[in-house]
Amino acid sequence: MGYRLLLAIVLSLALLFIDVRFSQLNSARQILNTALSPVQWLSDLPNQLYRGVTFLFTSRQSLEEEIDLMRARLLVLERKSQKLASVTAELNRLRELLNASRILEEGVVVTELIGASPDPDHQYITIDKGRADQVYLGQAVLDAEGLMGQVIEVNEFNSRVLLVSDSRHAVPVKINRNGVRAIAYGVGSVNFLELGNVPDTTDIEVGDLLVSSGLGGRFPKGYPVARVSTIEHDPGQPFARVRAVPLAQLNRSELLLLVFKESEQPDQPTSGGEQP
Amino acid sequence: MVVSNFSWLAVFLTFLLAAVLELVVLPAVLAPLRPEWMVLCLVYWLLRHPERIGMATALVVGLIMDLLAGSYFGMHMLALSIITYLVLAMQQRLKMFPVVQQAAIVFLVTGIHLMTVYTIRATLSVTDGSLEYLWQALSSAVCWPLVIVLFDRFVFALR
Repeated sequence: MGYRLLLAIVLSLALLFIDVRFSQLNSARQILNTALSPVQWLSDLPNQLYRGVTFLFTSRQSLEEEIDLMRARLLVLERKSQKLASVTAELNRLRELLNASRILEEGVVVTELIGASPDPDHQYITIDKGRADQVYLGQAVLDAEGLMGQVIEVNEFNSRVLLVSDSRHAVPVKINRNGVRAIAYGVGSVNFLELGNVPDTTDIEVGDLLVSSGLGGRFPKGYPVARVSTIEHDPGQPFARVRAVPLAQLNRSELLLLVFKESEQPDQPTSGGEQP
Repeated sequence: MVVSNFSWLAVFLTFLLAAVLELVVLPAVLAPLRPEWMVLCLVYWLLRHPERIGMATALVVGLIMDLLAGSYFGMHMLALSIITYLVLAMQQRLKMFPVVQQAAIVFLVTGIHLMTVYTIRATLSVTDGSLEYLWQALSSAVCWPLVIVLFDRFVFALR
């Protein structure tokens, strides 16, 4: 019995080492995950049933009220977007005058959440679009309020999204008010992110909106990420301790948006530097 | 508890159920209390049929857990092989214990599993180092009697 345990331990440590150091196992992982997608689908079933049953018992009146509310909201949003087309065109003309590159329009595809990490320390979600829908590695995912995270694993019919709050994640951001750049690190809590290496003298205030800066080429520019909630200045520390609350509803959103950059091939992973 | 009760179909179905339960989206309050269903299921089969279920099954189940959790390959495999060894070593006594005493052992076993997984994770990346995950071991122990009763019925019905 003992030698079997030894064998199993050696085998799993070898696998662990290969998986951490090299990327050869990624294709195997994709194939196996695709084979396991029925389990993903089954695990979403209780939630779908719950939604279906609540829908059955919704009264006609409350549905009508909801439609009225949505119509009103649509009207407000349409009014906001009316001027957007002309403003974008004007902005592009001005940028041409400055010899800067044009701002590319981004396409979005709506996707649905089908699973969340079973482990509270691991912040990722599973969405119902995969390689069949041209999802690519590193793609940005938004919800209605702000940036959610990026795609870290693409399977045939679903993919895994690392949330901005995971402790392995960082987003390049800038302060919307004055353009100061910073990096927002996840710390493993959905309630706040931390800004790294912000000097004590930086012009930053509580309530400042942080938007993605587009540096690094991973995330598209200009999407809201978080709002600064606390700033602590400790004379003993070289940097200020800045915390920001993510705007996306990281643990509640069910409908999400996948952002497609229009200039790029959909199946090619993003890499910085090929844009002028 | 006769050997003829064994069927791979029952093993497959119980593990499928455990995998689904492992992934179901729970409300935020309950999420830190999610029992380790796959571990419970493995311990059940180790107790009932140690002559068929052993290290190889543990490795396959560990691989599936690694895939479902999106963790590095080998993490759950290592943890599960350790607890498989422990459970098999005390299996003769464990199956004679009353259910409450079994649940206490299940608490220890799930705790060892979780600790192994978290230790590996802490060496490979950043974790906040809290011991909150041990609540999962407690809830697993609480669910153990349920697992025994339900799975016994289920396997009997499938026979």
